[in-house]
Amino acid sequence: MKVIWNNNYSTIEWNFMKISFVIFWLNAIVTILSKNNFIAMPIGLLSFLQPNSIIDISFKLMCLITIMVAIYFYIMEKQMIWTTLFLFLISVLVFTIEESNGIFRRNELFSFIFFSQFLSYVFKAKNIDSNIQKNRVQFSVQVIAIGYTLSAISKLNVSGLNWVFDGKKMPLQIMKSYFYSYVNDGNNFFIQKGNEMIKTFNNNLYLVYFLLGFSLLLEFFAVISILNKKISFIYGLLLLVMHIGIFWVLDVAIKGIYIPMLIFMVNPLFLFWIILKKIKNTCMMVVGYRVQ
Amino acid sequence: MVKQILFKTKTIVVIFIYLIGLLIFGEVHPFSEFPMYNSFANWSYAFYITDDNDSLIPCRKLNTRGVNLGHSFYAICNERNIEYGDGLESIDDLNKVGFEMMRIVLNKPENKNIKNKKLKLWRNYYYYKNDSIIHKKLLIYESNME
Repeated sequence: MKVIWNNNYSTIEWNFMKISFVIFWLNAIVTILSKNNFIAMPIGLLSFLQPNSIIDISFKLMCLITIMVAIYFYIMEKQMIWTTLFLFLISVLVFTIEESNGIFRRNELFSFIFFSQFLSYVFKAKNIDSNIQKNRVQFSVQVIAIGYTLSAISKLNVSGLNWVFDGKKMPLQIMKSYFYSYVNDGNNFFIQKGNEMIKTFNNNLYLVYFLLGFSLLLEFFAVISILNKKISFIYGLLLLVMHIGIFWVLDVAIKGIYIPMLIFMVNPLFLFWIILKKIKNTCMMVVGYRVQ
Repeated sequence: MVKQILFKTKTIVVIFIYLIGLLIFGEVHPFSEFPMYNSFANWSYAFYITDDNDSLIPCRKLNTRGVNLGHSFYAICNERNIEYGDGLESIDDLNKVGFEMMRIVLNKPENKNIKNKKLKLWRNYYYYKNDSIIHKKLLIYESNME
């Protein structure tokens, strides 16, 4: 338990974070590069570049090769200032290709986490703060935390506190979400599930208000998760519960938000590894006891 | 001096940079206010594609997802300064946006060999009237593939 419940980040924890983060990031990047050979509405970084040369097959190949090299450097902890800066820039470029085709998957955290890690290595190199073990993770948590807090501020800015009570109109979003799930495969099950969910929703309106209020508070105060690792872990679990609730009601799961949050605040791959180690040790003890 | 300030503010330095970036660049990747579901308006839209017999073509067959059709609708409307929501778009505007939405789908490399003669893009419009959900469907664009 002490391995998990402490306020220091070990190198092995960092390695598990890096590996899981880069797997999800690479999957998103490869999908975008393979599925986009056209740019409908250049925005952001692409409005300054020649969009057509960006999606050229030779550019894509060159991009993938350099990304693989950068990932090797990233995992092996080599030239981290240049590696994280490169991964940040390529991440911004590739996600902008997708957004320039009108698809917004909210991958901002994925990109900016590389920038925050770049900053932590600059802090070390320039002797501003040499505690790289902590900073490279805590800086990443800062990006995630501000993402959630900004989301809450956006809700309060647009709808005010009425956002909670406007939730009674959520069945319109539920209809839309489940209809989209139906449209993906043509499976009627999702239409039925959506109708059932609306009935459950309408029968539990006060519970819905409570949960929306709780989610808004949780998002608003997400910045406190930057204080230390223990708070970050607890907060990560609470945010996970919120995401499960959103998925259950709306059939919506925004990977670009919950995956970075899970990796840097809860670190499930590390937890899984600890559990496996514990099982292995217990088995060894049982076998040893029997041999004696 | 600068080093000391950075050391003392390291707990929030990334937050600070992100907020400055958001103020300067606005909603441009990697900066965002994360405005998802920041209001529950009295309307929602869902888009889908059918063949010439009005049978649904599952989005997976067109190498897209339903939600991507919605995203592209809002992005095109924003780019062209077309006001959207609550069913207020004109038929003409919807037709133009529908053409662009279909162009994005059909330009995917895997969709070059689609065999359908026609593809129809529909919009479902849901809204509340006297506590009941009203559902209106509208054909917004028809693409001739021959």
